[in-house]
Amino acid sequence: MNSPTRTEQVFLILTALADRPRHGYGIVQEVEKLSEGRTRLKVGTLYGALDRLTTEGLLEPDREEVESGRLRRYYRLTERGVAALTEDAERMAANARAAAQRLGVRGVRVSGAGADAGRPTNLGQGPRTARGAA
Amino acid sequence: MSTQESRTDRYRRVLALLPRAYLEQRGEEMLAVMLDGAEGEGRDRPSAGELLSVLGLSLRLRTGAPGASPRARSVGEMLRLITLIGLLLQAAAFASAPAQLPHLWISPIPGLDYAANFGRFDLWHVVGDLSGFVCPFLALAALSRGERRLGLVLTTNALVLVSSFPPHLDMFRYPAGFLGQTYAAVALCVIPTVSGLLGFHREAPRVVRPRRWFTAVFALAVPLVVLDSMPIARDWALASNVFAVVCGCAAVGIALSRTRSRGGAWPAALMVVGSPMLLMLPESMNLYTFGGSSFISRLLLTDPSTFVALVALAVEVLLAVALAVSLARRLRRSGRLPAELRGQR
Repeated sequence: MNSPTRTEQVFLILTALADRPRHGYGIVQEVEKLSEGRTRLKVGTLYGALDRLTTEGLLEPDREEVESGRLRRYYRLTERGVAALTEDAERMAANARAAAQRLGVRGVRVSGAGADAGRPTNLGQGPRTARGAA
Repeated sequence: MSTQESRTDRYRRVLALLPRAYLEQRGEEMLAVMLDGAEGEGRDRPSAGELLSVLGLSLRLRTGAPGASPRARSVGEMLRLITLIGLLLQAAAFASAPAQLPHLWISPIPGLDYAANFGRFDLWHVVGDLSGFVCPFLALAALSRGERRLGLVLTTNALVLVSSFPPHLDMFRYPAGFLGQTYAAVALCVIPTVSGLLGFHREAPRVVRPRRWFTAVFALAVPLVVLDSMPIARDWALASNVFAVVCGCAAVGIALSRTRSRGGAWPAALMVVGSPMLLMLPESMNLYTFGGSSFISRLLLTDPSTFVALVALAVEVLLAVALAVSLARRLRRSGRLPAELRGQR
């Protein structure tokens, strides 16, 4: 059976917690940074996702702290969460490599997709980057 | 009151939309996230987006999202069942459309032509009635496969169909008996759609045993298409009426007899979907007694419809008796005291 495909928001939340535990607002900030400002999590979306991921056993509460009178609950990835994120990352990397390889045939170089994958072929147009082509 | 306090109060008021148990568990933590965000962006009050996101979470938690109470999970399950049962009945209710469609182009059999039976002939109505048959199939398939958004879009097609009912909704021109059918049809279109929008949210669990739903819709709708294609189904009003009343009686009867079973969502869902169908009972009785082209006159003629009418009447009587018996049993059970209390008297 295939594992369910997680949304980009959920992938970013898992990624935000990959290096160390973070509290709610820390996750919001990290997700915004990771997505270069494209994704700004609202509190309802964040806690809906945290509840689901906790129920699925991918996250667990780490500790609680009170800072300036505000309660901060930290979350961390479980072993299952690490495995799920690894699986997602590998799948996305494979997809990105495949896309870069196909674009390479058209002479488009995708930055950060691997040295060989995005190598342009000689179509008489010279190498282009994806951004430049757009 | 300081600016900080008033800001905190505003955010607390937004969070008060959440279920109490969840608020007790998560409220302070969520408040901290919102206040940190407000300070970071220099805002004094919640934005519309924040309000909507909390409102959405609140609705999802009340309909069985992870973190919801067992009762909320039952409500969510009930809403999803209402949608699936409703789609099943919609497909069956519009089974006449594909059956009678060929008669738009092929020479009509007397009493079977589409315009005479549906009372409307333009292309939009034909397409609408056909969509009423096809969309529930596709919606069931999509929802069963976890294609939530596509399934919900297809489910809302029923709301478009409601717009084709208004000519019958003039309650000053029609007696109550005739309005029953229209109200039942509106309920059958509106209730499953609204339930679907509430119950099939993004945190909703996948449909259990999806193949059974798909088998059920084929088992119910396909024989009806075949039956509606046959000359014995010429009295469309009677056929559709009988179908709805039979389904309604069966649903309510099962619901009443199963209220003590552990699967509480099923009886509730059957009751919600089945009850509006019983609005058609007065019209059904009217067709049997006074309808010039229906039961009484058919009895006096050698006509295949006599058989259909007789079977229909027998089924309705049987279900009505079953309904009355199950209701009586339920009333008797509810009046009986538990053993431990009887011993104390």
